[in-house]
Amino acid sequence: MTTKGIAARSVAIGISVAALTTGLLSGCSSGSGGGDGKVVLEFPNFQASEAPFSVWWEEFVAAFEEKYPDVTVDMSDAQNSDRYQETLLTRFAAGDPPEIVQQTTTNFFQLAGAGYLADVGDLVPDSWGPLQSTYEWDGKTVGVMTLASGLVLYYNEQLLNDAGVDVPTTPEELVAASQAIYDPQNGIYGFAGVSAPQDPKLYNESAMFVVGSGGQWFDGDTPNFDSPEVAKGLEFYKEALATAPPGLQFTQRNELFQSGKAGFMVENANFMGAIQQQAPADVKPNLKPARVPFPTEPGLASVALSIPDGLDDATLQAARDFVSLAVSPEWQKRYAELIGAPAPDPDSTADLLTENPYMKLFVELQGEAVSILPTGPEVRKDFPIYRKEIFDSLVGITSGAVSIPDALADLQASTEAQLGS
Amino acid sequence: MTLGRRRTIFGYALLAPAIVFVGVLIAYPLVLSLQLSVTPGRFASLRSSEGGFSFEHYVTVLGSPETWASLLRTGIYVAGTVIPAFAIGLAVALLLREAFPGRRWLRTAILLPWAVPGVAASAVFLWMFDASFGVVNQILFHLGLISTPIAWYSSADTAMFGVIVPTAWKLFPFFAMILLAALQTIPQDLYEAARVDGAGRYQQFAHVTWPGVRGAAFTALIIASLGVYREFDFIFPLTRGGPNNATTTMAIAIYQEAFQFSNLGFAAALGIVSIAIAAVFVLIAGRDLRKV
Repeated sequence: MTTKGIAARSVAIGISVAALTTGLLSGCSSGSGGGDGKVVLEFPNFQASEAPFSVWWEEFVAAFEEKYPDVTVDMSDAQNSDRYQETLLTRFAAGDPPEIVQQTTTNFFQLAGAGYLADVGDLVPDSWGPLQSTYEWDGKTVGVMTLASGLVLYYNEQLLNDAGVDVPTTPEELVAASQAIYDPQNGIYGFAGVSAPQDPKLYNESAMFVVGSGGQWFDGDTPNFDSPEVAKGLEFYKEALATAPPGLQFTQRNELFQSGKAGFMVENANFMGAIQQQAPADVKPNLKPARVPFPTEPGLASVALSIPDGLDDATLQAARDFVSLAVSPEWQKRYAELIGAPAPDPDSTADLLTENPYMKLFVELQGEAVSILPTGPEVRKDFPIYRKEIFDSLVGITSGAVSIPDALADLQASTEAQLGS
Repeated sequence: MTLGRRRTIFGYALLAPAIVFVGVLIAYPLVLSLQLSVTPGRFASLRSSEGGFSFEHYVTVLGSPETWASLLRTGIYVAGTVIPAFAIGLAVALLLREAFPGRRWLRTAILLPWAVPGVAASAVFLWMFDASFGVVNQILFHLGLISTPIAWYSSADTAMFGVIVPTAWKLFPFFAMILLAALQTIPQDLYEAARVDGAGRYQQFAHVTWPGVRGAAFTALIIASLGVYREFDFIFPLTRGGPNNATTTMAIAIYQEAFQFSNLGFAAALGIVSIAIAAVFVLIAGRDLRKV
């Protein structure tokens, strides 16, 4: 072969490789149209392998595809919800979001504030619980909550009996009972709370005590760290947490309680299902739910479905059909049956009140719940920044490095400066 | 077409696949980062048709005291890690150069920390430094050095030390292996000549050993410093940059801005500034290296 021939062939190979690479990369981006003309809804789902939610999603997606044969749902397992929120953020920034967006509150306010989410207000039934207001932004509803609960006090009846204490009905009683049960030499702890300084759940648990005590970090957009309720809530929190093992992380906390080694734990209503599935047979009968011993019932809307703004008409309609079916009474009822806790639509549980001994309590708590998330638009816009500041202070408080009054005074001053209060 | 021109084209044609792959894997992400960093607004978009152009993120990054505080913390973290790791690595290399039973086994074993994933090592150190159950506090108690437990990762005063220790633990085998390889290239004749001239152990080290390993040591220091400069695996699982930003290095700050505060443009600008600082360091260090 001549040099010219070799050069020509090499150039051709080089161009082919470049074209192939470009083609492969462009093929990586998702499209909403399937090869068979069907609309494809991409749906990364961080509950896809988390029973019993996974069962509901599998049943629901199968039913949706049967009802809408021209639509295919490409549901994938997004696994860790926190990591997935980071992926989601990048995908929105790259202009390639999935057609069905499942999200926690981690980035919700940022995505909503950036105008990335479509208005789905007309899909939310009137009967939806009060925590749905979490997903309102600038006069629009940009998310439909799919997981919401008033928080529940779980207790170990056996440990309470052994310590000679009753189920607490006030924060003071909760602290006293936790201290009475606390026996670390024998591996028994009072309140199973997240105590690892690396665990973001520390924020939620402290907020639960603050809101339960009648406080809020912010009153709208005004810092409220100097209120007596906030200080009181944190005092209770610190005293209760002193009866937890140090360095306890979220999953360890659940295991500790389920294995019968802690007197109390606070979680949402769905945790009862986890107890039924995972607790040892000899411990399970002792683990029971009760109303949290606070004057105010704290709660949280923690998972929602959204639709990205800017979809083409056919895909938008398919995505709206998907959300619409998910919130229908039929599938809300199935949700409550499978999960063992109220669905976001409280009406869906009517038939289950007699079947599930705890459902009445869970429904009452859901209806009374006051969100532990802020409501002020300016605070919500920068919520991750404020959350980190509060989190850092909590680490100082729980480790004893900073006193509660000093930490709250610092938070009040710094947030006032940022919000121009 | 002349033969020379054909050969030139032929050469570039052969290089084309490599250029395409390098372009896709290195240049493309860098260009995207640059694009993000000059896109105005908090929630910058990677879609080129949107956004406009502005240096606002660079102005904010360079004007923010937190940027310089992060850089200072990064400097402390890099120096606090690399210097002891180098010293331990050098000592281990000198030890492993000597002949003794089990030397081959020990040479392999010494590499183990380097092979352990940072996140896995972090889990171990998290327990070792645990305030209540950690072995570190227990030892300090028994030695009478402390009377109350130290919450290593919860206090801003001790958190940086708590992340430096595991990073140095993972890094020292790298220095040990590089320096051991360099030590083995020094002819024994030089030591014999030095001894004949009356040189003691220190003088042998200063005039034979160090000149023999200096080039490798500088190279290893630059590579290791750059690695620690962008280290994330230890700090994030151990402290997440806290408490009160005490361990928020540049790498952690970039992550926080991007994925916790959704401030992608600012994070991209911080990343570009971070790369520029690393480049300046390499240029200065490289100049010194060429003199070695």
